[in-house]
Amino acid sequence: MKKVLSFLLTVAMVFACSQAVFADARAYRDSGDGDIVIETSGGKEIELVGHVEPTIISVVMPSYIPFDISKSQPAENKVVSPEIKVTNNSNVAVTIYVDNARVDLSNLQGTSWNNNGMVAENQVAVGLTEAAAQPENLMGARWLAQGQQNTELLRLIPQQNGKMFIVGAIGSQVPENQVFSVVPTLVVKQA
Amino acid sequence: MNNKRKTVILVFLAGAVIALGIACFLLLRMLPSRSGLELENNATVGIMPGIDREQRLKELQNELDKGLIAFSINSSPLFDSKTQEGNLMLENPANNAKLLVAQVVLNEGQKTLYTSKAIQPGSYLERIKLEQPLAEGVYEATVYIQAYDEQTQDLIGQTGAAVTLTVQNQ
Repeated sequence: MKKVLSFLLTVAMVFACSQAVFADARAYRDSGDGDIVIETSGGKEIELVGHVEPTIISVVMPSYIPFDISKSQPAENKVVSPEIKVTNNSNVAVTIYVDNARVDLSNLQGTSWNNNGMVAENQVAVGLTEAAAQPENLMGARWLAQGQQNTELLRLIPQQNGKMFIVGAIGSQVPENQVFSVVPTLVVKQA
Repeated sequence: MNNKRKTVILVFLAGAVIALGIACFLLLRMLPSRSGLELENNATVGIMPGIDREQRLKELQNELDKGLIAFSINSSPLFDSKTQEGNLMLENPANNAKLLVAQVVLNEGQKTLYTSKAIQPGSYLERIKLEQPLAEGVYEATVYIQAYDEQTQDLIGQTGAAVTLTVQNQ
């Protein structure tokens, strides 16, 4: 009798201790390829909240571009231009383009604006070109038009610097020793 | 008597010689010099502007560098359709040394939606409220950024950033 009771007590203890295991909702299944797959059923819901950060464009750009233009310049490009540096400090690529250009030729009597660089004797044309040094010729120039436009100038990858120069052509009959202005507004956008 | 007469003659001769000398001096000053050149008083000392290309390039570069502006902006600000407030997140970095004024202009129709007051270097405009309300939707706009000298408040120039405005119920 004592042996039977001892056996029954042992079985009861084993059964009681194993309840914690059976209470666990997890079941273990052999996937067949050596991995043990753990599946969950029931339990608590976990909410994952994500916030999409805005894309910040960060640049250094010119707001004013002075230059000289002269018929006496020996090269095809008649402009003396400073280096126009643009820096993309963003983590995304950007494009720089001309949004609009205000032109004032009121001091150059009889002179008109030219949009394509093939100037007549009484015309002036000014453009921008991406280059490492002051260009001698007009190849690759992006000519400025009067008013609203969408003239793409250069594309910069993240953390890249770009360099441009003003280029121009001037007709033989354009008055000298006068001042005219062409004011392009450069705009940056995410590429 | 003879001595007196001699004295008078000598004094007269001395006076004549002195007068002749003064006359010669004045006459010679009026005549053009044969041995030297007369200096031009209308000339300006220094290199004539426009002649020294390297010097001129330096001047142009200096002017352009003064007009460089740095800024950061949210490329796709989100606006609440009820309050018309949104996160433009425009920053004027401390090293700019320029005041910035921002103007948000709708590309279609060129309508000005918002104009800021002057933003000082080292500060930022996180949220703005559109002065011209927009209905829910997505709009292409340009934020024109004008730079002003911090001391004189003279306009230096203008640049811009293309943004996409989203107006929705939040």
